[in-house]
Amino acid sequence: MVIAVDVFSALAQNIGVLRITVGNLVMILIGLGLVYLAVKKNYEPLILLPIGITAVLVNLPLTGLTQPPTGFLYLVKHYLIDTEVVPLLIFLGLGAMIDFGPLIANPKSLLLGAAAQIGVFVAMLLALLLGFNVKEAASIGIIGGADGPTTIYLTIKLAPHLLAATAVAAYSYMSLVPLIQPPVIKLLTTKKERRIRMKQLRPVSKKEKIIFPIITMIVVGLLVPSAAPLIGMIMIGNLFKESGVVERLRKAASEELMNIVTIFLGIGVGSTMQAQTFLTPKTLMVLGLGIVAFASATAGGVLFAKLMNLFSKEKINPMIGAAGVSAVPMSARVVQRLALEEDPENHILMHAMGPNVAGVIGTAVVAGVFLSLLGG
Amino acid sequence: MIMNVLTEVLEGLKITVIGVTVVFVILSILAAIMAGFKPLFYKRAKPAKPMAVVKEEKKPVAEKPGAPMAEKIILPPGLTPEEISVLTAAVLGFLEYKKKKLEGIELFKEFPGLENIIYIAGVSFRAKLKVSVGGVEKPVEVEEVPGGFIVRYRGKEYRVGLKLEK
Repeated sequence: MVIAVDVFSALAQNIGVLRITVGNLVMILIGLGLVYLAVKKNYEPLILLPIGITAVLVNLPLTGLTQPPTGFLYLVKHYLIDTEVVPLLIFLGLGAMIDFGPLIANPKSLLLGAAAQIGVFVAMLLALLLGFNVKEAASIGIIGGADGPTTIYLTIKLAPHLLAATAVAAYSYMSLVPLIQPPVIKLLTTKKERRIRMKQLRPVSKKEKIIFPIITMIVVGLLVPSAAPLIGMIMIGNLFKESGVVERLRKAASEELMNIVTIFLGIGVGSTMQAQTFLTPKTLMVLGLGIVAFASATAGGVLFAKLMNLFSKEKINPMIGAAGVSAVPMSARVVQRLALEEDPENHILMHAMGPNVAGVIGTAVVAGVFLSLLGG
Repeated sequence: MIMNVLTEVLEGLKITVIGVTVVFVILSILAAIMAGFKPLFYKRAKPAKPMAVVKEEKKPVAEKPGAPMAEKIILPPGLTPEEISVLTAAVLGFLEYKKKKLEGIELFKEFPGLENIIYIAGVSFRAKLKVSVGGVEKPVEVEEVPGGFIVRYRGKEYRVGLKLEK
């Protein structure tokens, strides 16, 4: 009888269902919610699907997947995410996919990319007012850069306990750009401004496209060394693409490597979504501040474009300022859609791509500034 | 508590001023460098020299009976750039698929125009394809209907026309 009771209690201790908590159940629902958004609504499926399903997995009790030193998800997070290998490799792949041509053709776009970073600082100041410390606030603010890998890179260094919340906010809101940006753009622009047509961009030579990543890497690396890892990786990837002589490397960086690191990024971030760390009031605040960051970044870009119009002979369509949030290419597409709504013959996609890719550089520079001022 | 928050906000303001300044300065430097690219690397194409015009008498050319037909895809209005790429790739992929299917049949080799009218006999093709747009594979379903195709993509149906021109 005693033996039977011992066996039963040992068995009971190893059955997950008896150890599951309300928090675990909530997190499983959240994880399934992310899977639903990815599958049904096609919201950033490449990243939200692995994050969501891993969130479900890590909230099943007694799996030991996140337990050091040998839990699989612990190893993924510890060696690939915490060491920043994965976000940097994502930047390499991103560089191999981005065309900086529209930016080179219209260098003023860079200023719009800079202006959209204002959203990062607005969200950071709001986070400080809500009681977050400076490092946490910087990690929350960078969500406004609409750049997932940069958000993850900075959060790991400054506030690793907020990683899951900031990553989920960044990627979720990136997919919600078509819903978040249009009301802000319409609120800040008149119908007449939205109908402004822009001169066709000049063609950009191969030589310019090759020189651009080299110069950008050197300039940013010399002026903000802490941004060099991010900018360096994106520019190396871009040089693979534009040089035209390492097609295999370009393909590997933008396809195979990118796919592999995206998987690790998804499951690595998902593994941090455990009930005890994720279900806190702070997470809700991070998600709320994320929307503020996106909206104010959009506003920053649009208002700066309007400011530029006051001093410029050639008027720019202020909507392209909204593409300064670096969600590439979603925000540029949103701007194009809004322009076509006002004037079916006004194609400004390529003009919007300039600030869009400038936003990537701008967000990386802001991350570098945060790192140099706040330490890693 | 309030003092702590105020101290943090003040530090935040300091970081904001520095951050905004640094971002604008660095991106302005890059913009200035890139503005220099144009005079250095970009040369507007010179207008071509007027060439001596040789008048050639046009001879009426008899249309060959078996001249190949060019296919013109007609897309519905109001599509996003992504939808345009996917639908065009889907229809082209479908035509390729259909051509391959019919290649093995002797009748279609003898009468190449026949494949365009077999729907009259109630024969229509339908295929599930994966089209690659921007390096990403997207599943689509294409169904042949008189005068064009129905393309199903992400749960939506698009009517795409096909015009054959000589």
